[in-house]
Amino acid sequence: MWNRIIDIVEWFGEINERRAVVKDFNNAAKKAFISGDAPTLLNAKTTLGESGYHHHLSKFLSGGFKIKAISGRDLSRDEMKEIGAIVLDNKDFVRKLITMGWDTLYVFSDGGENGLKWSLIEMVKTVYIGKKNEV
Amino acid sequence: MKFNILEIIPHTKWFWLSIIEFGVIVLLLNKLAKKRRISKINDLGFEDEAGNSVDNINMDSLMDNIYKSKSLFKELKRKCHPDRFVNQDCHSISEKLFQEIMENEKNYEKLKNLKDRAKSELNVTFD
Repeated sequence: MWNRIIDIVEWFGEINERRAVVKDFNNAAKKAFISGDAPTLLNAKTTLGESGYHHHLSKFLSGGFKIKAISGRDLSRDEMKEIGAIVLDNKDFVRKLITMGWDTLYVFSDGGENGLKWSLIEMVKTVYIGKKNEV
Repeated sequence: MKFNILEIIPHTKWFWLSIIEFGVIVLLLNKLAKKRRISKINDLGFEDEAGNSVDNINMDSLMDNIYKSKSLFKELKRKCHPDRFVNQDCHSISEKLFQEIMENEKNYEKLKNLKDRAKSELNVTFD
């Protein structure tokens, strides 16, 4: 019983930590947009993850880390690809995302119709570790 | 005059029940604090290659990587290309520097350091 209470306390702690990551990202994006460095304001939020990209630490119904352009100039496909590549190039950030239960990275343009998605765990396996997919 | 403590304490069962409840709460809080202490000891923390703590990812540098690294990379790639330093003493330095520039294409902080190195070691001027 007591262990269950501790689990619940830890669960709430994880939620706060996940919120803090999203909030930090959004604050940094706002700062970059206000200072004029960024032509587009990016906004991150947690959404449903891709079912095929699940891993052991994936959170149920909230495994997607979605970055969306919400103001300013719209993003082209190449720009979305580049944003995704830069986020995935930050190994510490990707590892943190995985350990905190995210499994899919989405980058969407302003309209929300066009977007790209990456599997975080596949990225770690193939790019960081260099391990090829084994059937 | 004799002072008897039992005369002061109420003899109702609710009083004793509340005392027991309070004791249980203190015990459970102690257990929770102990559990937290253990998890802190077990928490190895996240460290990058240089040994710096990366528990808090620097989002500002991530934004710099997204928006500023591309233009700086292009500029460095153009101005520090080894072909510009052929038959010069600094040709080998430019080759090493160019290699590092190519490896850190998306890392703005490292590209900034490489820009400083290019200024001092290759005497390259930037706008």
